[in-house]
Amino acid sequence: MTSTVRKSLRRLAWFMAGLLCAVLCAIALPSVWQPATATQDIGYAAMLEANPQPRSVISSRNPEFEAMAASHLEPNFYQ
Amino acid sequence: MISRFRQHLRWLSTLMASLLCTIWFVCGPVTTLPAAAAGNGVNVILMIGDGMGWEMARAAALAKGAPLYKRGKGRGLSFQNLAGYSLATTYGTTVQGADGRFSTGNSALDNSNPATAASPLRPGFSFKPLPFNPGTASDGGATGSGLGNLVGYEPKRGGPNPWTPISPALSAAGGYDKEYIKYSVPDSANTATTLYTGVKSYNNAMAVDLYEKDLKTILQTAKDLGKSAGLVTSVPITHATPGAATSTVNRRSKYDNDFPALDNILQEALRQDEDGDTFLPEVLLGGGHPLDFENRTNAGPIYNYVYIKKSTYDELSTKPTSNRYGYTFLERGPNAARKLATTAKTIDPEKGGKLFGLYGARGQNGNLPTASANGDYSSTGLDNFSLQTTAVPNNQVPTPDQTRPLAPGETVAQFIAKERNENPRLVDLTQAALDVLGKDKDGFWLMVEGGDIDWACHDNSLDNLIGTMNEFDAAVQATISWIDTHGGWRKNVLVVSADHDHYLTLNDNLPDLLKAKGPEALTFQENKPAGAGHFWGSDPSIKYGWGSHSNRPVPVYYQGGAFRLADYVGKGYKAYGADVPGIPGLVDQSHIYQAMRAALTAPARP
Repeated sequence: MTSTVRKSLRRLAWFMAGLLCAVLCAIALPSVWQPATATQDIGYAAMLEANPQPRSVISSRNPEFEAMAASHLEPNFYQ
Repeated sequence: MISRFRQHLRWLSTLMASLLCTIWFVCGPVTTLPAAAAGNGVNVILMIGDGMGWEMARAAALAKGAPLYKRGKGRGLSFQNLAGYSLATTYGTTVQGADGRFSTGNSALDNSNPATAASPLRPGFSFKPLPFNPGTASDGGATGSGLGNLVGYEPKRGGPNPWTPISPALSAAGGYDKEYIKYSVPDSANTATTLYTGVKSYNNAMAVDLYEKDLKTILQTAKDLGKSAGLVTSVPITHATPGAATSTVNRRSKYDNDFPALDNILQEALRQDEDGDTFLPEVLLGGGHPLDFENRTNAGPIYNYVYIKKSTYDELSTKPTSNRYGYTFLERGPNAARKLATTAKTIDPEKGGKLFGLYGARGQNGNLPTASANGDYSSTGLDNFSLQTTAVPNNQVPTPDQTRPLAPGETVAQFIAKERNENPRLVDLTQAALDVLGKDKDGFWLMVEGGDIDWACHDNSLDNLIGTMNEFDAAVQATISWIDTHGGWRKNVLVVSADHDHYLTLNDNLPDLLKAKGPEALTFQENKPAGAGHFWGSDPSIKYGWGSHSNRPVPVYYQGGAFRLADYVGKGYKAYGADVPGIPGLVDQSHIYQAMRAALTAPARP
């Protein structure tokens, strides 16, 4: 009787150990699967040096036009 | 022997069960995630009439012959047939500058370094949601301490809805302030950021928050779910409304830069942002072509690279199917609409296909050819900003642009015919986008912008407003027809709204005047509100009175799927950790984002 119980306990212990391994792997592995983040040298400092500030927008006697031009006709910041 | 084997068999079965559990736990995420990512198969289509407030929709409906209505959703346009209707607030943030003046264009950083998120925080800044701070000027203007960083909207000053008061002439009698909606007006970058991320930010912000930190856009959420995504616009593809879905930059004028630089709209859309996050829309169709785009002389061609850098354009145009971006590239040229439709049929997002189409009429600021109200394209090739801008300094008598950048020997009629042939209409772009994205079984998110509606309103041009509204409505109708044959309203969500309003008032005599004189005469010949049947701004005696946006709530028309905007009416929202109270009868644009996101991520229906 005792032997049967021990056997069952042993099996249960094996099963629990396997289950624990599975849980640990499930938690740990996804972080390994994350795609690598691409990195790129953009030459940012050089770019900023060449284009320190955006160009001024088209001037006009109409202040509303200036407000509109600032949003719709502003030159490319990097021009 | 058999008994020993049985004993081992039992051990073996236990071991196998453990192993199976291990495999299931470990590999479960790999095998089940794609299935979950495939999601609900729902398509969400957001169509933005840039600047298309309630009065702009009414102008187009009346021009189509609809009876005069003075409240509510109205009728006459295809999107006014959608089942759902609401009104949304559009305001953004306002931050005190070093001079003590609040400005809607300030982020919380001191702007000492033009790179995104590279400047230090303004000394002493901490976000304060309330009290609402509308200021005293179109870009802010408040001074003093104890003021909040949200512009907000106060129905007691601006009116509970866009038709109350229906005219600034009736404002004072109702206890309203006719100047109020001119204060701290939002721009298209700020409002697009809220629509795509649910976060309130400053004018100029392209999917970055008040601290210039990157935000995750709804386009990225859709792509995370295995869906495809697309952007379509009638104005430059690197302009604010499309650009805020596919870039995270601190200024809307950072259109493009030479490869491999980032911190600009186009390179981030086509590649990645500076943190390595990708957007990569499967469809990118719009204006901004460099050919004569801002040529105001009578001779072309001149290439001017503003919305796209020359190096980017050269890479795409010389290698239309083998460029470094991996996009199939189309541009303006003979039989453009047919070529686009044919190409769209061959692009399959399930196989990694991506389409980039770059168009724009000559002499028209990079926009698609302007249809004008009667559809004769008589405004095509003319500067989109020459009516209001010449009328204001010239005592309300405009001298609009009449000069097209004609090629040698080209007549005006030939010019217009060529521009129509070499550029698709917004409806063609929309149809092509639906043809491509509709192939993705997981569904898609698509934004279609009638961007030139806003440009017509800035110019106070009723003729161009009605024309651009008609083009936008045709695109909406094509989308509704597509939905009818592609899963219906159970599978598709359609939201039609504006990013912000303009200050237009229609007089009751407009329908009669439209019939008697036509929109072209009311725009270019009648310079007084009484004869024109409409006026822009807060003074009923001045026709060309306001060339900027307004802070008035905008209409939202919607139908389909699990888009439950009605649940948000009157509800507040969270801004930078603080509770912001709702406004009775209204939703906020951040709620449109939340409802779109819920529709995209909702469990699949059985």
